[in-house]
Amino acid sequence: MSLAMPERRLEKLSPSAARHRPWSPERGHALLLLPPLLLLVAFFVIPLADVVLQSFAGPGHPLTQYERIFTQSSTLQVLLYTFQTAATVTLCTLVLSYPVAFVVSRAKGNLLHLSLALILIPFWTSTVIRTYAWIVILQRRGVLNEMMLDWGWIERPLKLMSNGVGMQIAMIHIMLPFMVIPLLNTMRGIDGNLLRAAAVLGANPLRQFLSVYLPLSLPGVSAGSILVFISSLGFYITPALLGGQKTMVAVLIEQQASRLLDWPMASALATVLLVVTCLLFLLYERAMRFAGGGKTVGEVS
Amino acid sequence: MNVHADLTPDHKVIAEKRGALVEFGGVTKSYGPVTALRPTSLRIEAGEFFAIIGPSGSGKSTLLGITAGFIVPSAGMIRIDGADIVAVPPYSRNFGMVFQNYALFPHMTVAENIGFPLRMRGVAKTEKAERVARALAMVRLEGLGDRRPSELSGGQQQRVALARAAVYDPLLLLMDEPLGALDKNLREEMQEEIKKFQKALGVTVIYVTHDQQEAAAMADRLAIMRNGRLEQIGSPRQLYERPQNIFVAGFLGEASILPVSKATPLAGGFAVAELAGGGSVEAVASTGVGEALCIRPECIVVGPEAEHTDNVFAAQVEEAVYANGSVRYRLRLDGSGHVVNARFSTRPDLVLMQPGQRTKVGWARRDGLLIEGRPET
Repeated sequence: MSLAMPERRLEKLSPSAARHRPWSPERGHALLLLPPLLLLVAFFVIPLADVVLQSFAGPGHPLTQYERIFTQSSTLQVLLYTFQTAATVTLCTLVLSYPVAFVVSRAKGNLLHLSLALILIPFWTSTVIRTYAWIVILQRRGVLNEMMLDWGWIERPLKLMSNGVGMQIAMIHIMLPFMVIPLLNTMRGIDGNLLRAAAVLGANPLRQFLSVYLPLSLPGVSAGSILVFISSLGFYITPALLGGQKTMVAVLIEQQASRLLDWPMASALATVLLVVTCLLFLLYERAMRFAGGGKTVGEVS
Repeated sequence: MNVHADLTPDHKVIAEKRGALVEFGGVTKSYGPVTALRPTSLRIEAGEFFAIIGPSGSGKSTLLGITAGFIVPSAGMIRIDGADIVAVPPYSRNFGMVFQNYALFPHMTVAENIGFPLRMRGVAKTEKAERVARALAMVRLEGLGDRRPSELSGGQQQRVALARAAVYDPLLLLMDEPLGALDKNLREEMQEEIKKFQKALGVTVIYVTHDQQEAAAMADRLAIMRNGRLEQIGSPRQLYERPQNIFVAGFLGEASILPVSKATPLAGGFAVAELAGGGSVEAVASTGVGEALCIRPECIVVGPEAEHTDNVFAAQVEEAVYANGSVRYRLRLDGSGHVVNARFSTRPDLVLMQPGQRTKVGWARRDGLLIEGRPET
């Protein structure tokens, strides 16, 4: 906006200058937006609007589907379970990622490149493949159970699938890079001298962490958490393959749409998910602006 | 030695209040085959303002890091008022430190930053507020306690860092290029302020910088470091007027350094030195018989008056540069072809010499110094 302002003022002063306005990078850049914009409108915005509209269609008054969602205990339970799972996955991912990101943020040279590769390669591997890999590991006669039986740790194979445990393990694995990368980004921006300063000023390692490092890494924590939480809310493949009786909301949507052919219900569920996601994101934006006083902490240092 | 005994000022500053006596004994640091700090022994008096200067990679930051406790020395000991602190972690050493980029905590207000060391020491809330207010007043930042560091100017941030490092009355204040990020005028202002601050607190200061002028203006004594070694320690004046080798001579201010092929001692601490390429001069044999002759530019006399000095040469002006009331001549000596630099103040009626002009150059024998090190030719 601020870039365009002087240009507009120039137009008012001399109309001829406006007619022969030379090519500027800004104008060229705006043109570049056109193809993806058309693509998104045709294949994303219009279908999405259609979904939202469909949710109000069907028999009865327009809000019938929403009434069903929030009154039927079965759909409410699915929603609750979805939120619980997303929260569990987010928390576990954070706990696992924080130390990893800390170590990698301090790494240099080959160690840094190696660790980044180890984080990114799974990230580029298909979710379907990784989910099937977890099935191989976690199933009744899978690698994990066989191993624990051989070592005599357990007498009977543990039930790790179709009960949420396996699904959550696989989801945590798939979500790790989404947490590590924002954390890493923030942690690499934390000036090491701040910790040294805290040390000289009398803070032992625990207090250095609690009063300096942790607060400064919070932008990364919240960015990673919101990313993982939102992604987990709408997670489909892993819950569908590993979930069992208890389903996540995305699986429920698929059931409604392709098995029960209840398109209005599927649309209403999808809309609820969309609205919750948008609300969470807005909340996150607000919180960040409040915390940083309009700036992120990284900018200050 | 007797020649410059009269120059030695009494550098022992007696501690007014609570400075610490700092002793380094054979402190060494090596990283694998790389030696960052050769065995270094040094005594810094209580309440002394001690500056360490040297080019980057000279080991000055290593020495400071070891003192602060960030770097564990490979060998040696550091004694504070007699007690060895090598095994003490940085958070228990009770030193103050000011970093080059200030290292203020961006997520805390100015008051919280200054109060941080007090919080870590479990000082009660009311006393903490009182001491923070006093520290803010001391650095003339009253009323800015609620600001974030990012809302302050560079000079103000610097003062916050100073207040934070001193609010808990440390015995020793370490400063790592604290003025490096400020512009020239502000830097000079802050030099005076830090000096006043140190006087008021009576604290011992170890001040690391690469700016020799800054160090000379502030310090009671300086140490010059190179390649992980202390080259020379002394008062700013001692180091400038009596450098021991060509590195020190060249690092502090300007100097003309001429190669000497042979030197014969005379009585009274003087020597006759034969310059490589011809000509001989009488000079002070300060560090025995050195391989180089060092003359400071303000000691060199140019023009007819040069005839009355001890070492007279005919020379040609190669370059004349005027700057703010002083003029600097680059002169090539006849015969040997060596170059000397002279500098003196001008007055409005003084006619400057032009390049190419012929003149006489000379200096008193007490102003020439035979020092160690072979000058590049």
